[in-house]
Amino acid sequence: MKRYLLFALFFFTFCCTGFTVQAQATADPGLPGPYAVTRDTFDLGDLAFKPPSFPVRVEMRGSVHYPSGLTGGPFPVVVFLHGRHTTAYKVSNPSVVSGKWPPDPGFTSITSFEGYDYFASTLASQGFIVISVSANGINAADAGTSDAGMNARAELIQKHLDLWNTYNTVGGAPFGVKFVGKLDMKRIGTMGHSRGGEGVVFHALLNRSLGSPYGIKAVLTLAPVNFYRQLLSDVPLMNIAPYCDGDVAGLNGVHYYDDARFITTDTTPKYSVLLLGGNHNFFNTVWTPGSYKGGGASDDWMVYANPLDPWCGTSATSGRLDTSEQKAALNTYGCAFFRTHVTADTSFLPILEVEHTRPPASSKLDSTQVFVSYHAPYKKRKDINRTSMVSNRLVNTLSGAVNAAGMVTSTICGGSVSSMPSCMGGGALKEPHAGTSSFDGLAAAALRWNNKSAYYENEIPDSDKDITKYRSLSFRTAVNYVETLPARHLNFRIQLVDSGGKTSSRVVDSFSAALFYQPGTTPGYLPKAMFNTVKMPLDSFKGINHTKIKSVRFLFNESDSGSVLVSDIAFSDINKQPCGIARAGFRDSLATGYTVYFTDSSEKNAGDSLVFNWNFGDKVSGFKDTSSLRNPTHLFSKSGVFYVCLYLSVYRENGLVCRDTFCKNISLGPVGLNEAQTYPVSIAPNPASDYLLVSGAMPGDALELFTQYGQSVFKTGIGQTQVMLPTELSSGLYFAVIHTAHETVVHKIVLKK
Amino acid sequence: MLNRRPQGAGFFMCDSCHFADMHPVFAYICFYSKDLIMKNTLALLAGMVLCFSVEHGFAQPMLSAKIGTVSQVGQTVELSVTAEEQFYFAGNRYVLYIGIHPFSIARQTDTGGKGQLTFLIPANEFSALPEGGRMYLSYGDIVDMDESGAQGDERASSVPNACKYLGVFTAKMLGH
Repeated sequence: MKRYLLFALFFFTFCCTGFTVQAQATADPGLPGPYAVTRDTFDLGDLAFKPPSFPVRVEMRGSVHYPSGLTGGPFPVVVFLHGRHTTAYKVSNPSVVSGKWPPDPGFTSITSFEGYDYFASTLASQGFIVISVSANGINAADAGTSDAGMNARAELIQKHLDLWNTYNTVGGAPFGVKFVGKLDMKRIGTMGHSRGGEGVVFHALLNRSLGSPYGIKAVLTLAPVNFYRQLLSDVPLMNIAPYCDGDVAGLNGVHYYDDARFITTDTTPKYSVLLLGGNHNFFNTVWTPGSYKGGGASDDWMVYANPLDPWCGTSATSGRLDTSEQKAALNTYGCAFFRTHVTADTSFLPILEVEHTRPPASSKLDSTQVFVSYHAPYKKRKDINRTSMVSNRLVNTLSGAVNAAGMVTSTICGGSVSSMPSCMGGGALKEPHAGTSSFDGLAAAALRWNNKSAYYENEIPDSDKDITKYRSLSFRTAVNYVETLPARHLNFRIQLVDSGGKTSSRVVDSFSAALFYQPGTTPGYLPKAMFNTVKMPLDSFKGINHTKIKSVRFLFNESDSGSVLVSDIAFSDINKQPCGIARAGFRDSLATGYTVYFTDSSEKNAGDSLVFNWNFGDKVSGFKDTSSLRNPTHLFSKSGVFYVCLYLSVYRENGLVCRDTFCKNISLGPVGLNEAQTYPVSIAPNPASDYLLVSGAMPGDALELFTQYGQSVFKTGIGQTQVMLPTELSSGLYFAVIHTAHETVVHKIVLKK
Repeated sequence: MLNRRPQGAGFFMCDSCHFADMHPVFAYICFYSKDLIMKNTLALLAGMVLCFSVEHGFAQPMLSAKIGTVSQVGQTVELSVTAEEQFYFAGNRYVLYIGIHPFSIARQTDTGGKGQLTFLIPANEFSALPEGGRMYLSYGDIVDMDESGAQGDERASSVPNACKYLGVFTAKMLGH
């Protein structure tokens, strides 16, 4: 009974007292987009295709969701591949299911490919063409093959892309020429669920081996198997791991992320999403009990694992997500991923890059239910300690010394099972990141303390002491449940020390809920140690010299005792490459009535690629309130003042380097634009140190500085061109807002002290 | 057809705690419980859970899994494992452990509501398997499998619907 009381204590601690996370405003990627959606199906027959690597023929069948009317385009493409599931059910008794293909007489196909229609519909409403393909024929025979049908899955996807390339170029049955010119075959995302997850990894590699005839821009593995540990790099990857997965209970997809972290030529990011109460099947409506006419649906945790587990079981106090929450989570994070990496929409980077940890409302989850991990590309981060080698116990990746004081344990565990000790010895299902005799696992620093004076420190060599180009300090961590009391919510501090001896520290749980004691009690299964990213803004460490950082300390002074695993300690330089002269700007002019032409006047550096996102501040106009055109035209809904913003994203060779925003009020009188109220206001220099030069302002105008978190830190009237800045302002990113009689202009500036 | 196993047998059997012979719900209860009152209270609650679960249909093929026939076809030994219910047809894979040696290539030919997995083992590997090795059928890998079978035993006892001990190996199985 004590076990259950401890669980109750955990529940109270975790859910009711919890942690604090800074208020954040996050764009919501899971909301329906501006397009109406049409759904069609296609079916070339049960035995239409013989995958070269597979012993039998399989079907070519699927569904397509697309923007109704297909006006415009070509549209980016996403392909879904479902996982292994029974293939048919008996028409006269749907509870009788079969794994044969093609179905026996009296049986009909189970349409697993339709199970993600909810997600496909959202993506299509946002401007994607989404193709979901059936793989029953492979599922029926893959167990008897040496590769579990993974190569066949890759070949099936490629065959479908070939088919859709034909629809896109010359057309064909059943669609005729409807899709000719409508698919952008160079901008494709793929998502695979369960065995389909490993299938899309194999496919990305197959497509690459064929010379990349199709542009695979993003790969999402959803509760995937990972039987063969194929390494997929050089493409953005997101793995979604449901903690209560009863089927792929080892959450083996974590290795896709872990294995691809330290490839120095890889310019693409990796993401991992942990859904703390998710199971395996509820992502697919066909596999979800009660939502499909045929049989075979189940709650996998209840079937394969432990119905009575206090967290993953289905008692009233369990932590399980219901079916709608689980689907909403896929919808939200999947859309964020594909929109970011297939369409280069940068709006959701704060979610993916763990700058905003509060889940978007469309996910139906809170910060204790979903954890995003982010691994920046090599050129956008500075590894302090990869914790990947035994030697990293004493010398970090920067060649700085690693020190520990007062620690019970400070060592490196995991990694190669032949050369490093196990981190917890809990078994593979309880340590998904662990290695096997065939494959290395995730190596980590094992840090245990039993007094509040203990610390763990990574020294920063002089050559790397200037961290001003970086925006965040990040690491991944998991509570070591073996060495920590159940229900114990841990906390500690990160302290930066500069060469002058000044220090600044922040508590981890101000930024992340990752230091939770993992829930569940099923022997061999739970609790399960999953690593999650903690990211802390460097500008939150105040009063120290960021150009001369001497060390990064983990101060264990927040909890009397505890034990954590830590990996991937790094400075992340997200968006910290200088914009150079790149600046957002636009001019506006009246066409007729309330129609306004907007002309981009942004400046850019040679070689920059610019992505434009406009918001016209005219919510009544619905989805037309935004545009990604360079020079859009907008028909305003009425007269009045509209706050129009151009969000500029600047890309260079290594991806996104910076963003700039330019906003101004557009005033529309009864007869249209009040031309006299538009005049340019600019600010220089940028970066600035002690002063700003404001040109174009008028007497009576005001300048106000906001931090990136929206806190007003300075406000003054603009009496003359030069405005002196308060000396107490620290280095960092600010928004300079100029209030004039007619408009508000916003510039992003950097202060370097 | 999946599941439809009579429920309720072994309702107050915790004293013996033969996990592998029980419905998994009761096995869990036995595993956790420290005294008879607690066992019986939890078992009563579990019965209510099971009433609900029967409606949704929990397949438990592992409970009845056993070695079937072992025959050689060309250079392959085909070792079948049968069950009274269809085996799971889902994402993970079935792995047959003989000692520390895993075999996961298996035809799944469930018919008539019964389960059948036929593992395909290269004949030369079969002949090299150690006599007396403990055999387990696991849904999913047992990463830390050892010669003693301790990991297999632990998994079979703690999660009986995902792992079953099938006895010890002898090459004399071939042809039977």
